[in-house]
Amino acid sequence: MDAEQSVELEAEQKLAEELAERFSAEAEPKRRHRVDVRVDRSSFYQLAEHLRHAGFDHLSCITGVDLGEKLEVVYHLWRQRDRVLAEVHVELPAEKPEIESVVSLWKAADWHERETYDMLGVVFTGHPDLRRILLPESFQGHPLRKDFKLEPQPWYRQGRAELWETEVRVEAAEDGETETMVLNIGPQHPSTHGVARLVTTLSGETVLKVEPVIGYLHRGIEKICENRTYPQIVPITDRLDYISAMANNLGYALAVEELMGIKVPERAEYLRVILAELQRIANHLMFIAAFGADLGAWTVMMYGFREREMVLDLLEQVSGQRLLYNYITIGGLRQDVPQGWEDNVRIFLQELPRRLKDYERYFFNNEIFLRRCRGVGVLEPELAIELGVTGPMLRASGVARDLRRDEPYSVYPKFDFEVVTEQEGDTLARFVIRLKEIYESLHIIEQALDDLPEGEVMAEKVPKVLRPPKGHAYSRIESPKGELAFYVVSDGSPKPYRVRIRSPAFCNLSAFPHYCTGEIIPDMIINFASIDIVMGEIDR
Amino acid sequence: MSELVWSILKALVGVVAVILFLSLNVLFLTWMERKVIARIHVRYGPNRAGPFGLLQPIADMLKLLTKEDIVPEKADRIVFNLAPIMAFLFALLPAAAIGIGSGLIAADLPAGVLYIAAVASLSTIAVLMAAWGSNNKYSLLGGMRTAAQSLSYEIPLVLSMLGVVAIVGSLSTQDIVEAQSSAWFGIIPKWFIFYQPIAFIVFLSAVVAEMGRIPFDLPESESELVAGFHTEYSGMKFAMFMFAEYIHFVVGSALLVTLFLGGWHLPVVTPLAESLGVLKYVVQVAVFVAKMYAVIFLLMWVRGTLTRTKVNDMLGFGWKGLLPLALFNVVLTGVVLTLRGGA
Repeated sequence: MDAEQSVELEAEQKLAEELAERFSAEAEPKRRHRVDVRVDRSSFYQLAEHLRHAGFDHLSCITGVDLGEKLEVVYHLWRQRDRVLAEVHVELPAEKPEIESVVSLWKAADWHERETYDMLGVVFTGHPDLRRILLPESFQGHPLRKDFKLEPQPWYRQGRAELWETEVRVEAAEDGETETMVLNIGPQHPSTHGVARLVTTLSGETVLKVEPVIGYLHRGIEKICENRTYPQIVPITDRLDYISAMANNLGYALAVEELMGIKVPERAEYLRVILAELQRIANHLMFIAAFGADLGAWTVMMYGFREREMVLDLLEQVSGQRLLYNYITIGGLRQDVPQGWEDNVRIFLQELPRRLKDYERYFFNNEIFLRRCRGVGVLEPELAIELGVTGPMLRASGVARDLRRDEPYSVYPKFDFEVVTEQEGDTLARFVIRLKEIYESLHIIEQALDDLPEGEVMAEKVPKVLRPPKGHAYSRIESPKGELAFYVVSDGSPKPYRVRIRSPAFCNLSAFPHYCTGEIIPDMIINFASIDIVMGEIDR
Repeated sequence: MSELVWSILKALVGVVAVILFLSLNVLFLTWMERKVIARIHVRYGPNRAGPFGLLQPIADMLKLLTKEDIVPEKADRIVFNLAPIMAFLFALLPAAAIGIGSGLIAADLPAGVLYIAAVASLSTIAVLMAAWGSNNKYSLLGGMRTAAQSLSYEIPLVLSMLGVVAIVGSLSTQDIVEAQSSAWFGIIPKWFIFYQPIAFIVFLSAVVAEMGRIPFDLPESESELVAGFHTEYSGMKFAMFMFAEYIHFVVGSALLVTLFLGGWHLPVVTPLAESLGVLKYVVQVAVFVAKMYAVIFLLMWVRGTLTRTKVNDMLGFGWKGLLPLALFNVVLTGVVLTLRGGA
């Protein structure tokens, strides 16, 4: 570690020393923004409480790892002030994996703990509602345990479908009780954006309670990743958030590159930024289109798709694919961009702002639209942070957090861009912020194109078979929907020991029940639409 | 006796003519709506079946006819099955009192406008039957919204007609059209849209709400209530609801033309056509239909442009906006007419 770096790591060093002293934890600064903490189960809760009060207000992710005799639970906690991410490892005995729940400290822990329970059987004592979340209640076993047998469930073997209880029990109203009605929105419904399901308790048309039920698109991607080699996982990440696949590729590639210590050539870094921002534009256009459809404005839907088409054409030119690109890969890019591609991007850069003017005219002169969105589903900034909300949704509540600036990856520090925020925190703000982010992305792409260096797009010395050294890496990127993180654990073999995906939409959706009650159905629907969810990423 | 047979025959011809006219228009409308909306959406719309996709409605019909007719297990079968038929019939009724040419009317009722207002609200019952009979929560919510919407917009609708009726002094639609036959300087038509601009705006808004079209398509707002009251319907029963909906569309536009846009009168053209003998009816019908389609196109354009309103905004607009405006218009018309000596 040279002198310059040690100065940079001042904050990390301080935190590590403090934690080591107070909680007899093993703590060491790993790199800028990262502090690795290992703590005993007995003093874990005090440590968590301490961190919570010391400004670690964002619970990024909770991960469970099966280590054989032991289970490990990893907490990723972020402090915005000095931009430090504490990675707290706690080991639990495999036969009795119990640990205190941290829901009382971070509300965001709710779904993460449920998932860890679901997948690894870790029991979080004090959790208000510890149920399975992705798998059905009647599922047997915890699939991410290493001793889990990949074989059909008992109901399948016995040919008894009735044992397969996929239904989440909807509490029936008591006899004679006619005040409330339970409306089951989804999993098949025109505005659930996939197979989301909202069990909604209504009084008239007023929403009293909403419970999102997820898991209908669960494909066990985290489990699949454990049985694939590192490069084989890239196309699987495409299938997470399938409308911004490029961002998923990037997030995963960064994690493996950190594990391997691969330095990506500069040209590849620049192209990655361009591609990621193009993907953001495509995603936000898709959001605007879907949002219009939910409002009954089908024209906007078609316009959104038309504009998105331009981005898809550009991405197709580089990767040959229109949706699942598999283009950004470990060590760089699959291949260089075709000749003249930069010019096509430049044409797009000029064309899009002109078209976006139409959107602005359409929406902001439309009284009906404004009346529908203004003041609907207000999410207070404190609550938003507490609930682990990230991305445009958080920035719409006036919290200026953007990983491209806070924990820069790739070559983002070289570009001048603004972290756009809106103060209102309502559905309108969440809409406006996306429109503004498109302009910022265009601005970034322009700068990146101007400075685009020549050279290779693939790092040298990337072996055919990747065997990263033992260790773990947690890479976070600002995906179009929020904080997308990959936690990759390597045991030195060609296949990862564990891949954990922190999906932004999963966390943003988990926040939804906390701020949508008291609305009428139409408000709730557009409020739901403004989260911008993709089930592929939520259910994984 | 022969007189009775003659009058029955005449009525029968009228009924058949009305159904034929409406059906043809509805078939054309489904094509036109898809085509117009597609163009607004920067799409092509139907273009496979026949020239310009003109045979698409027939293909649609065939498709719907061959679809399975599903009745939900827990539905109220009688109500469920009756609802689409009722919706279809109730939609036809008001058309009887609207003429598309002088004398070209199924029943020139002396209380024509009143009759139309009365039977137009019947279709709400059919929708409520469908909503209740389906035993589906989305249907029920959609049905309730329809009831609320009809109630809120029926009143301004009727009140806005009142101004026109007061000027003409008759409830017959034939008389109302005839009252708009003259023109200033022979070219500027004396249509009631110019006498009653407020009433026109109220009527236009209310009639869109009655038709349940964007921005007032809350009863079947698909992003919220899947398809509203006809969520559970399939095949021909669904087709009947769609048919009824398009009949509403035709009738509403025809009524608008009758009340405010001079019916089959067009300055210069219709007076000239008077000398053509029987051919004058052709001209009249052509003028009427052209105007009707102008209104229909306008409403399609609106659908392509606007978003859906919120439930409470819809009710607020009806009760707090349109109703006072309609009442004000009635009073204003009364005052003006009185000052002019009951002209």
